Amino acid sequence: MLKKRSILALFGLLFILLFISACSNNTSSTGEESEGSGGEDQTTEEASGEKTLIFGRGADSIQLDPSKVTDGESIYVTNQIYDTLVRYQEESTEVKPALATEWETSEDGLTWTFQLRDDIKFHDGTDFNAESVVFNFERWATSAEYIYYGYMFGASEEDLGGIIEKVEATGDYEVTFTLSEPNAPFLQTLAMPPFGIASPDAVEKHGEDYFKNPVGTGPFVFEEWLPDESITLSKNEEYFGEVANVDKVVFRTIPDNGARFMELQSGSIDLMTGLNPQDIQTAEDDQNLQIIRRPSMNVSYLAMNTDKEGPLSEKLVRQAINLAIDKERLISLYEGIGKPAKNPLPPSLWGYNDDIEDYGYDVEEAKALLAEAGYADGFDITLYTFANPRPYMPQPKVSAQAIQEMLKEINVNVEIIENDWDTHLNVTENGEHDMAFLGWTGDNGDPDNFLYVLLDKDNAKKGSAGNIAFYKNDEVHDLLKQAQTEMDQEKRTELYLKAQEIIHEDAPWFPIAHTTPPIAASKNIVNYSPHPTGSEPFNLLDIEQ
Amino acid sequence: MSLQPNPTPEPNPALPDSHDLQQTKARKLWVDALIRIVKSKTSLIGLCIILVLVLTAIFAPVIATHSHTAQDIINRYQPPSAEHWLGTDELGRDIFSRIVYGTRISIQIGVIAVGIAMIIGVVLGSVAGYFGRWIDQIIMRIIDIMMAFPSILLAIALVAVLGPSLTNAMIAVGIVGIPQFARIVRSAVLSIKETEYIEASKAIGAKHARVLFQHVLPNCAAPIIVQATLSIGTAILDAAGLSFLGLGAQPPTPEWGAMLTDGRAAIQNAPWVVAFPGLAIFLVVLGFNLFGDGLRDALDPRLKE
Repeated sequence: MLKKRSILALFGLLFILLFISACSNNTSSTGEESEGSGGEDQTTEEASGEKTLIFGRGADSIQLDPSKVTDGESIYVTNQIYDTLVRYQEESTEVKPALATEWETSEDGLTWTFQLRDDIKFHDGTDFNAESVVFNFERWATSAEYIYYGYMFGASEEDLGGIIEKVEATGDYEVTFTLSEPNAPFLQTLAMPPFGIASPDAVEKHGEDYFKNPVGTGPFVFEEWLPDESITLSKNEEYFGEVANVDKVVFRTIPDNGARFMELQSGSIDLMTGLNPQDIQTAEDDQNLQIIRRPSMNVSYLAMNTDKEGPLSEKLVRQAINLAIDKERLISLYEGIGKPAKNPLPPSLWGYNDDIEDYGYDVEEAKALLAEAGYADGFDITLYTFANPRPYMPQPKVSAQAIQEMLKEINVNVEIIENDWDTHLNVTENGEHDMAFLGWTGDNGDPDNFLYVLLDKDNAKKGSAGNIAFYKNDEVHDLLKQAQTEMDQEKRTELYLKAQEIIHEDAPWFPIAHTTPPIAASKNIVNYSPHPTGSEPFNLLDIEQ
Repeated sequence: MSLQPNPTPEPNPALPDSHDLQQTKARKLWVDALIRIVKSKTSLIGLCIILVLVLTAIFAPVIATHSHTAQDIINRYQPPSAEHWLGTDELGRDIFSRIVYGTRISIQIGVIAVGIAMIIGVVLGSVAGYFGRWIDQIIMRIIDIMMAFPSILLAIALVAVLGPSLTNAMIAVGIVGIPQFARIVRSAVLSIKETEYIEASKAIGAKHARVLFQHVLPNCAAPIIVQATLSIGTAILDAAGLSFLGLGAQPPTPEWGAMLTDGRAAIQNAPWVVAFPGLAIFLVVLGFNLFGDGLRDALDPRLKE
């Protein structure tokens, strides 16, 4: 009897504990509500006509000087503050006039002349003119820390200017670029957010601290940055394009995907990226929410370090690994947002080689290849992965475990090493890994931006590698270099098709997927069309009352 | 200091009879304790939970219904069913089997971490208490420094230095547990070394080592055992916390804390993925705490009827 009673007591205790934990959930949600009371203030402000867009995301910006960063979170914000000479169309990577109204190129493709707008001021009140464009381009050619300038114009420590020989103000509102060799994607490249034109006055005034005090010409003006908390922008009434519909944009950092989604559900944020794939259905079922899908222009992959001594330096082994991973099963972990990849290029891009046949899943064949390479008994290997989901890879850790289990079938023993995002980029750029997950979202809609950045030997330098497979093939290098200087798109397509064949054969990657990254938003967000390049200005977006 | 005959029935090498008597007494103490534990309902529940845990760990391959690492990605996030008693996780692995194998890891963590803490803590505490003076000062100030850190923070720092792995998590949790043992043992030694039977053995010329290990430490056994039992629960909890932060067990080890963190993303849609490992941690820690409390009461001579 007594025993029964004490068991009952234990169950009672359990229920009390569950009750307490339920209560504590309530308190935490009231905690959110009290944060939301800030939101109430905003509603009262809204009554007086002010609209605030609160954007929730997983990580803070690193710098607000776009020329020095490559991370999407920095560029998301700078895309609001700065303008480039030309901008992308709303839904494609075709360019339209922005700071430049018209442009022409010489017959040989070496000289580009841009006519600039003559009616624009920077947010700090100084005039925008040809001299400010020259100032920016000369600044980017002073140091290798302007990373994208190096990637896109072939600049390096030895040759800081790269293919841009000189930039001159040939009139008050006319700029002329002289290139050392023709560059087919040049115009598309100029539309990339990293080449946003900054106010020369502000750059000189703030010096080292400029990245905290950005001044551009864009649709929003920088107001305040609380590191790891929020970045606030307000609308630029003088904007030369369409003046923004919302008065304020607040980028809030909420690291946990689940917590961020709960804030969206409770209405304390309006828009969020980095949705857990499991929550997509929940959001679609919610009457107050909508899922907006960003057009796909990315790839996620497993890079195999071909540079390190050991099994992965052998082509047969890399092919065996391609055969031993069941892509279909792996992609089911993307919960419907991913399509299997067989090329480094996404299929939406011209130059995609659809004739290539993927390796397919064949464990026996994989074992045979391993035996042929002399690794019949398998080997030990590391797989580097990262903690937070990325748009092209929603579940990196789980995917790593799935691959670990699949490779066990061919006696390959995988040790998973998980780092946070910053560290992961560092160690993979340094080539410490055997295998590593990574992905890429296209910047300018040109195949060069995938193949040259990710798989050319020029970008396989330890410390700043975009090519983390450290894949060095001279034939591929020649093809990619030739494609850069060739101006005829049909001929370029030929070259890229050929390069993809060689890459497929050499198998420096196991290409995983191309995703359509979901963005969850409250129902009253309208006119928002995410751009394939990963970020877009918010001036057209509106909040319906 | 009394010159009267020693009234305590403690060892006297000259009288073998009294040695036997002491052994009988000691045995009686433990028998008494056992009886009192069985009589106390809460500690009996604790004992039962621990027994179930140990049996599960020993017979894991028999009890588990599936392989604990086999994945079935297509059938991920299945709710509990006849096939998968506690459902499946994010890679379609059987949660019941993973929890069953996880008991092995948890017991291993508990025993090894507490073992480390106990051995080092007892040595430090007894040396400090027995010799006193500057040795005491040095050891106890170091212990004070260690206690000034929040324990989980110290463990995180240690793992950060050693590198994330299950072994290092055990070492870190063990090191974090040292101060408690050291303090308990020191205070017990302080009171015991003033007793007359210690005085006596010193008087007949016993060496320090003999006095400390033969006479002082055996009489500190009760508080050490109680502390060890209570610490196992905390150690399992701390190690689960480290694994939850990704600093302990590495995939695919079915450690409960690691299972919690892996299932966290799906908490709204598939709550069973985190609920059951969480419940397992809760029950085990509860078991060790109940038993430890019962043991403390049972071994306390003041509570003797």
